[in-house]
Amino acid sequence: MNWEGVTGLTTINETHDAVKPVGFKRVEGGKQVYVGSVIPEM
Amino acid sequence: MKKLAVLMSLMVILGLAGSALAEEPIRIGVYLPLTGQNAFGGQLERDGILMAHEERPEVLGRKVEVIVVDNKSDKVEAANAVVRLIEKEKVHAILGTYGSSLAMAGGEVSEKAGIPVLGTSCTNPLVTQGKKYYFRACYIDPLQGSAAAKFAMDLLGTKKAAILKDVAQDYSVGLAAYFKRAFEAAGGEVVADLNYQSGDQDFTAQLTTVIAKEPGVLFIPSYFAEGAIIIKQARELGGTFHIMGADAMDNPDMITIGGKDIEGFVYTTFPYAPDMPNMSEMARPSRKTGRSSSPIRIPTPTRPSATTPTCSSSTPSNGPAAPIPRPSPRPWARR
Repeated sequence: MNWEGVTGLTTINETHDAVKPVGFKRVEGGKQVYVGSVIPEM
Repeated sequence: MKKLAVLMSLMVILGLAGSALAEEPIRIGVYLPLTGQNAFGGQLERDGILMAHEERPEVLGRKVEVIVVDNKSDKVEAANAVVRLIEKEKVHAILGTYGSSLAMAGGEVSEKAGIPVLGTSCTNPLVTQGKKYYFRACYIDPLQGSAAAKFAMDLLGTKKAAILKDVAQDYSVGLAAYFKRAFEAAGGEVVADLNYQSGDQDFTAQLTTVIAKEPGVLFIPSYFAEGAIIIKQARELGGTFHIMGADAMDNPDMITIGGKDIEGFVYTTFPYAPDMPNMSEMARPSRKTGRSSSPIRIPTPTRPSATTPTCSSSTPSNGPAAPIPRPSPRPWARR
């Protein structure tokens, strides 16, 4: 199952779990700053 | 964080509920920790669901009703909440819950009743394992732990890690194990693997041990309130190692609690942020509401490995190229 949501394309796999990148944030200057994301490997 | 995931989740659960009679409203049950230890996360998710409902009160020409029940951050109450949603409120489908332990408890009830549930932010693999009717809109902890371990080694530049986990939370125990497995598999050493219990306020003993082991990074798969206290106390005790957390730390109040000591704290989270490029069209109505969340579109993900999750790149897509420097010692730190 795939659907386009507010955090991008989400795929539900055979174990009913979403397949999504893992994002990273860092606290900088008192704010939560998005650093980037790591995409899980196939 | 939670608001964005549930906004997306609601759209899917509406589809799951599409078999209900055409003249009836679609009844979506929501069970969340609105009181108790995890209320901070549950309230954010509730707000996200209500925001989605406000923006899309109908689907397929039918009215949508949202029934929210407090599971009180308690496993027994979580099961009771699902019983109530199914037997009394007669919901067609359910959203929830923040907290993997709570989701596991609620999932046993929904499974027997055959009511579909979409997990919002419960990342422990056991939530959906063996379940026919439980789904989730978030990634799972094997991926999160693996990504955190790779980040620690490649971007924080360390091969020595310590772990401080909450043994009362399945989420924390599971994520700690996945981080440790991935970190050691990549050639790193976990020099301390220590515990605390939900509700603890003083982490001096554990942190003293951690400091003595001189790790490059301390990984804390904590909920944000306790996590912020751990960070604050670690710095007060003189710890200069990096500190990493996970998605349960993604709450603006952690900065309020941690203050200056939380500066430099890195954590895994769901892949969105107001400062990300390429915002999704679906996120734009949310911005019009003037609410605080601003979900952003991300690149299309690929499927993870079915066995041992790894990362295709050790460098975040738009992350820094050089290792992140360690925090400076605090001149006023307790020794």
